[in-house]
Amino acid sequence: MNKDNLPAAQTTDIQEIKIQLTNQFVTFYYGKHFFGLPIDVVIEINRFLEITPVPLASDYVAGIVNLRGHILTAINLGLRIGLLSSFSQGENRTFFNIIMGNREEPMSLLVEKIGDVMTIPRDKIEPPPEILTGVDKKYVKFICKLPGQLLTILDWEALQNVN
Amino acid sequence: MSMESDILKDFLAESKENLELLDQQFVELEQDPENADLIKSIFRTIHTIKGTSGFFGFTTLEGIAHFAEDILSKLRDGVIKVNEDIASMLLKAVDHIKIILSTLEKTSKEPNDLVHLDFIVDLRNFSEKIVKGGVIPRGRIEPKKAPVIATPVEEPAKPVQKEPVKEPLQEIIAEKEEIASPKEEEAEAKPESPPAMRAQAAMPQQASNVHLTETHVRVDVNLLDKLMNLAGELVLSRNRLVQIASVLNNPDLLAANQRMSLIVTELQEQIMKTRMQPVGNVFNKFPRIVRDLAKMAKKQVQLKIEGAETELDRSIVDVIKDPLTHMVRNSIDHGIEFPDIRVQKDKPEFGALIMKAYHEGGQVIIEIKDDGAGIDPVRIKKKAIEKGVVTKEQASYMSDRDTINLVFAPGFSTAEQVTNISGRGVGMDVVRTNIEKLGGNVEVLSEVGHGTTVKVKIPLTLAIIPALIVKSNEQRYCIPQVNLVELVSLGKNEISKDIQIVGDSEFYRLRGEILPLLRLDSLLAQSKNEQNVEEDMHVVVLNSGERHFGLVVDQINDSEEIVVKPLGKYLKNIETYAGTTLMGDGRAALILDVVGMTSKLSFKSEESIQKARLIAEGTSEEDKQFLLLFKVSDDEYFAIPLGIVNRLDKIKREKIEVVGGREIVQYRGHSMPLIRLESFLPISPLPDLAEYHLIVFNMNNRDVAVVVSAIEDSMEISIDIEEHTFKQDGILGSAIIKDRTTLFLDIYQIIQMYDPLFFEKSEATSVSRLMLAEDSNFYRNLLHSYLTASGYDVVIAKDGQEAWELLQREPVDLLITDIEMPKMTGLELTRKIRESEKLRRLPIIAVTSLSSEDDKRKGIQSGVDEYQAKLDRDKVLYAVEKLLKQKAII
Repeated sequence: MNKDNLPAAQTTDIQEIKIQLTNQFVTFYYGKHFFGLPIDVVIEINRFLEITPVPLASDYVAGIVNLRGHILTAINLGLRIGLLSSFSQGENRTFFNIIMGNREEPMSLLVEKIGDVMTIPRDKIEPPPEILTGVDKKYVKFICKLPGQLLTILDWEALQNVN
Repeated sequence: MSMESDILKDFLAESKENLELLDQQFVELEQDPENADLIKSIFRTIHTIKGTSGFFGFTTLEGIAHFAEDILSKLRDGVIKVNEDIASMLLKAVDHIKIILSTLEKTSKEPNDLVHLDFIVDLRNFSEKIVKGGVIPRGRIEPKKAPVIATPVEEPAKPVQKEPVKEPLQEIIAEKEEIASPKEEEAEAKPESPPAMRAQAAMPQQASNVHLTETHVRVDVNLLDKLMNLAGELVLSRNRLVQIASVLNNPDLLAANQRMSLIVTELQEQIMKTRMQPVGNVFNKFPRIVRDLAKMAKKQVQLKIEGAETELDRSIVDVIKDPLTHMVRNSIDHGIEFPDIRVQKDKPEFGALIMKAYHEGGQVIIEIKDDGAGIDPVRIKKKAIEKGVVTKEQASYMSDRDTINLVFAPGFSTAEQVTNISGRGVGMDVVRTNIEKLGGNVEVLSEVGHGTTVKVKIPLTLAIIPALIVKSNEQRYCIPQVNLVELVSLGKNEISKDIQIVGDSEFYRLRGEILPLLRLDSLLAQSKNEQNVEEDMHVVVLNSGERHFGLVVDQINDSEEIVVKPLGKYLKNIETYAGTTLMGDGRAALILDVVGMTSKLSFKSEESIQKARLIAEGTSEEDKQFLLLFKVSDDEYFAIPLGIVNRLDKIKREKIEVVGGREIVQYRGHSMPLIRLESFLPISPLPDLAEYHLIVFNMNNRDVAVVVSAIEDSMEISIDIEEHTFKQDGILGSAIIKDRTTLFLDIYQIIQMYDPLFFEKSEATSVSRLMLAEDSNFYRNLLHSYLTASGYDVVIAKDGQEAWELLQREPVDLLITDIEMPKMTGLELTRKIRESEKLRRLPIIAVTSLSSEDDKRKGIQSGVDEYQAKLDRDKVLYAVEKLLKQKAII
């Protein structure tokens, strides 16, 4: 009896621990860079939102979009975090809108490609290294070394700050 | 009166909800007696009722609330703890309050029922008791209750009760007035009276029957905003459906669609209305404010409120309170005099202060009017000079109206000394800024000794506004209609005639007014489309409050009602935008901020124009002229009237070609001759430069340009030229401008020297004699110059009188006369000629430096045939030719 029960109890314990120690991230791409945001920061992902440009605004402001009657500011992720990588600057690039932030004033983050929602064990989540190439460090909250690629977890608060 | 009943209504609606909540809260409190927040909330509700009923003079209600509050304050302070008795006593109090409120709702009077008075006594005793002896043991009330309920004889008890009941109530009131500790005297003197018990017993079934009628529901404003958004979305969906339906062309679908359209529109209107609130919601705070302020200032003021029912959007109602308070303060503190002074001035002791709201032309006007001392321009000027708002010189040229508006200048306050009420130096400028932020404006009208009126104009709503949709670089922008003055579309000819380019700035001459132009695309830092000369130019004339200006856009679309949405935090700091909105196709668009845009309008010349205006104040409008100042070589300055300049441009030296000994340049698809002034005037030659400035003139439909080294400035100045010092061909005279001797060019003569055939008409006209009556040397010479250049024989008169005398002797074919002249004005001269047997058929052209529609009408009325601007050479010549031809036919 005891012998049978014990391992079973242990497994549930382990599962619980596992749940506690993982975080879920929405992942996406900008150029060759691979990024993530905690799932609870992301409100929704929207493909087709027409962007109205706003002249005179900061360069990272791509414009304003209409999300079901709410007008949100669309921020170009690459320009916002100062990506150095070369990518096609074509006018007709289509973006995905990641609607994120607080519900009073959400914003739309423009990214090039959407990845999976990933569950990542906490022990894989590390603070960013001192030197980061290609990305402004103040926008990086954590990094995760995944097999074959590096996932950069963005600092959602820094992204939303007006500088 | 109606306002008071409005307040009562609000009070009832609010209290009813709170009371419903109270029932629930008391029950909760019994279960959780330690919950301080709950007690505080109950306390507040009761306190509000007490306060408001005191205001209306509902003594019974106030009494009940007062003692209930007493008990609650003990609970709140932790002196006693809730038990069932206390809770049920308080619940009874709530029941009584409910009954009184429902009576108030029906009759606007308190119920004349002793039950409530009895209860007050009872409540008071109860309150005393718990304060004295802590919590009353339950058992003490319980046994007594039963017999009383059982007692069938209630009626006979009543008359006996009458006397003793009245007493305590008066005491209560007396007590309250003293505001001393309310529970000292005759504490234990009151026995638990049977009527109290009876009331307790009678209450429950009565109260449960009371259903307060629901006429108002309080709704979260956010919910209304959401509804508004959804209605907007619905409109968009409808628009798409309409499009699809028209493509499918199914009559049933179209009909159904049309019906839906109507409903959607109405829905939107109704939702709009939910956001409207009467101005009274703000106005009703003022009787109290005025009373307090008047007391503090030791003045007597009677406030009169009119039009409190005028409705405004909720968001505006919130914002106008502070500006209004400020203006009322000003009226009481600075405007209305002390009673003794008023009596001396034969005014009633009580100063009248009127707050008035009304609709006018889609806007709401709020007036604050007092019959006080008015604003004394002399005092304002003195103060403004002291505070450095204006200089002594500037002040001496200011009109009374301008002076009064100095109160809006930052850092201005007129109170002789800083008082508690006003005069802290932050004042009307803040008021104006706040009102302008709402899209409104403020105006002060004042008459010394008779009072001041402040007029505030504000839009009905900020949420939905009519706006003009324009396009620039394929994007749509909305311009609030409040700022719109007129729309002008300029064809190719008008562009070349009426647009002047000075430095980087463009101006458009709109009926004599020089209008600065802003190009929306360059304002928005968009890459400028290559200007297509063939295309029409669309100018939206806007009023930014301080000035008019023209906004050049690519396309003007329709006017639409738009829903204003705020700018996101990333965009708030851009002053060019006022907000965002959604367009019919579901795309977001930006709303332009007309006032914000004008901050970009800081022309270099602005200041000098302003200065010149101030200096010239007092001289007549007639003699003032916009001048363009330029240099050929380093030290010689020249001026020409801006009005005759077509445009300014720059060319590289290598672009200049020499053809047949003459310099020309390829300009807008044809060759344009270039004139070097040194070839015709004894001046230093043009230095060798990589780039030259061109002053382009358009005459006889031909372009011709003068080459200069630098454009200095443009300014409006009173022309007072000295003719003799530099008298020679090509120079009209000289004047001192900005401490420098400046020569005035006679451009017509110079062009004629350059090309004697330039002004030659193709058809040879027999030489006609014209008379020119003009008092200003400058204009006389200028007109004389271009008239003779065109081959006319010109007789000159220096005023109307001289012209009249000359006309008796000299036969002429036509008269060109100035309007404003000494001795006899042009209009008087015209009338005289029209009355004269001999001369009445003489064609007359009136010329003026400014041509407004009003002047034109006056001129035509007095018998003038044509009315033209002096500097518009082509039009004047055309008019001369036309009239001479007509005369020949007759």
